[in-house]
Amino acid sequence: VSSDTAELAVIRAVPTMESSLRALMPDLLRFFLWRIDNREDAADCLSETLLVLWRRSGSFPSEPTERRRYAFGVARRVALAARRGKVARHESSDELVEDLALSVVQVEPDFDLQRALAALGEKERELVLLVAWEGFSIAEAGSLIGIRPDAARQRYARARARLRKLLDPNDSGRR
Amino acid sequence: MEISMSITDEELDERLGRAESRVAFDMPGPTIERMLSATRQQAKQRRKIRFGVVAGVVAFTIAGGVIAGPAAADAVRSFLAQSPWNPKAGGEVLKGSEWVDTGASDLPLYVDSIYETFLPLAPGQTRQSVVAEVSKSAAAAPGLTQEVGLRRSMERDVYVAWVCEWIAADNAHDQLRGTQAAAAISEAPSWPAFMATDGGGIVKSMRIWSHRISQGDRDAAEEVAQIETLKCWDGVDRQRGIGVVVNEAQK
Repeated sequence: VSSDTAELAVIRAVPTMESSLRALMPDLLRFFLWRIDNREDAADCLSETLLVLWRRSGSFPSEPTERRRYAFGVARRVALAARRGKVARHESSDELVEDLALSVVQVEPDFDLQRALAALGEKERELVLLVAWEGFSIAEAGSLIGIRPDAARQRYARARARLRKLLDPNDSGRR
Repeated sequence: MEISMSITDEELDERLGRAESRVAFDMPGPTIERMLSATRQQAKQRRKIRFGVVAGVVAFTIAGGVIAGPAAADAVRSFLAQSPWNPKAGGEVLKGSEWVDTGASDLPLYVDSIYETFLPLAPGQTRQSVVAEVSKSAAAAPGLTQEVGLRRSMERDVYVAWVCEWIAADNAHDQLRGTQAAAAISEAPSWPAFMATDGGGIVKSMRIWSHRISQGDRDAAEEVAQIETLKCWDGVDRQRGIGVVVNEAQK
């Protein structure tokens, strides 16, 4: 690779990084809104995730599917840190917080589903949600939370079976 | 006889799908652009700290003058060449990770700026203690290192603290503490700097050890304590066991 080509690659990498983040932001925000109770914290988590991804642009994968998985891997770690109260306040998320206050509407929340999901272990819940809502395969979801594919499949099946049971209207006595 | 009842898979998928669609929010375009712009600015601010580190090396060399001689001049050229301002030269050990001077006076500030907030700190650890420990170790051998190396040191600091925590829990027969420590140890091989700097064997070894530790294998924890020369190591030589893991990881 000539030095000119290398320089060109660096120049091109900037817009590619930016356009990738632009495309990922709505999905990442949704990820945080579902996992972080407080909307302000969810907005801060998004800012923190963007900053981490930007800072590590050198190791940001080039393939779009890999990029998405990488970004959600970072997002998951940021969410875990937020639950321990360890995400910094970002001024950059102030405007988003205002948008969220005005615009986010959760129509008829499914409290039974929320309770059932809360009854699962953290990794089992993440497996189910990463597959159902973020569209990852079970193996991809497993790799995001550090579980091997075969174990992920078993835990995913167990988690779904538990959810099905917990959501049975005739089974309320056992909840 | 109790009949086990549950909803169907289709019903569950429908409930999950409905719940997802119930959070309705489209991020406004201007908000997205301003957040991206702010992120860019913040990232630049962090680079300014790095620039301070570069300036520290230059100042040191100028002060060293004739005594520093050609070797120091080469070091400076090399550092500047491999910095983000001159990507043509390349040649970094890990692409995209910048070089920093571990002898710079603002090293702790720099280490704090790249601190990984997701790290699950072990009991007794704080962000400040990890930053201080890593800065102190790095400064003990002044020279150039890559940013990823410092992040790896932070991850290592947290990882070994959990290994000692697991050993302490095992001594105290505290299963809950042990489970918590084993969970953190299991996650460690997937931490980014470990992954980024792995040549193929280290992370695999860590996975083998973490699996054994999660099964309650005290020797596995002691083997890690021995190779990492931790204070919590019981002093019994387990070189043979370590060799088995290392060989296994090479396969």
